[in-house]
Amino acid sequence: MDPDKIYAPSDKIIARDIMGEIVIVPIESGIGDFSDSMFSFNETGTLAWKCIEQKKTIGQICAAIAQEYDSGMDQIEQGVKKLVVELLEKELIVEWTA
Amino acid sequence: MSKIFFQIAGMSIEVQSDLPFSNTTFSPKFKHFEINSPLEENIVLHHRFETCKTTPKPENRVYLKPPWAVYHQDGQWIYQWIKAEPPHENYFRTVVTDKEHSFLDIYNDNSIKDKFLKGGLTSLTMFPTDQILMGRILAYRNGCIMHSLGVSLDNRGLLFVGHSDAGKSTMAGIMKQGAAILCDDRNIVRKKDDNYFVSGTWSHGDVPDVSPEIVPLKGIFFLEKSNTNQVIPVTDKRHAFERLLACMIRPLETHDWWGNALDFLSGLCRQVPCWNLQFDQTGQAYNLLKGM
Repeated sequence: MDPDKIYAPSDKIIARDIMGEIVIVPIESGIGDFSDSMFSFNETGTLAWKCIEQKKTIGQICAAIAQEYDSGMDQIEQGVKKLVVELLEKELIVEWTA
Repeated sequence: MSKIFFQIAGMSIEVQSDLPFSNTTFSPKFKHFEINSPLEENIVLHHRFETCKTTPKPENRVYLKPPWAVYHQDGQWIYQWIKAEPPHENYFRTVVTDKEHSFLDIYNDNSIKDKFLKGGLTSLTMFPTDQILMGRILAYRNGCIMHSLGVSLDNRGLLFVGHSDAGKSTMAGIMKQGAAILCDDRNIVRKKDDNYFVSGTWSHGDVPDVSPEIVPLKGIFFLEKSNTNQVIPVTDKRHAFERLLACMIRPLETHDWWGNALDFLSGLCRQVPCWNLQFDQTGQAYNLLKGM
């Protein structure tokens, strides 16, 4: 994964910090649709999401996590890559170009 | 033009009509909510029996799934009640509202005219339920509709939530020992001056008791049928948030609606105590709650 790449939240979602955890809801403009399609993150995922909101590069996201958690950079990079792929698949983020 | 006023959740709904109202235009359940004059917060809902002159443009359509097509155009929302089969341009009724859903013009065709004159209407909008529009009205007014049982016990508002078989109607029967039932299926929670209130709606389930009374919301209970009676505090507020979200009535879901809804529920969970309520059929849960 290109460390200089930047991703941003999709404009089809809404994200809120609910009691310390990020909650993401896809906006599908439905009426009375009770299907639960809410996403939330663990602590590391929350930090990564806040970086995505600030339009930080993949490299900067990994560095921010490394600063907070005592894990090897390889492991952090793998984790961030996995998260980004998942978020792209679910269309919660989009590739951002200035 | 005729007009009639109803109160709900601290605001009034002024229903106007091009046709005259009779004593039996609306179902008897509305008598509990009828008032003589508007309140400070007043929503105007006008039944017009003519063709809507506003033509929604296809490029402004934000939702299409029978029976609804919804458009956002020139600062207005346009709801069309459409036929199940295409072409969806064939529609029965159109609602045109301002951004905050304060003024709603409902355009009805001739078939609806007969229904109106026949009377016994079970909703003010003459849709199967008022909640599609009420949900949006409340979203702009610090409120939401919860799939719940609401009661007033010693002027304390208690809200019981749970899925369809959780026992809301059973609990309503238990609470009738000494509490006033607000509604056994749909209640409104609103925030005013940093406090949360609960009030009933006319959309009841098995228990026909309804009340427009507005009471301070003092507790939220997640219902669990059991062979015992006890209350267990929900300390995981995040979990409470998710359970309440599942019970919130969702109207047309838009970015601004979701933003308001998440902020509202988040504040509600932080401020109002939540409990798991395990209850059996003996009715002792009433004494438990009365003593809290």
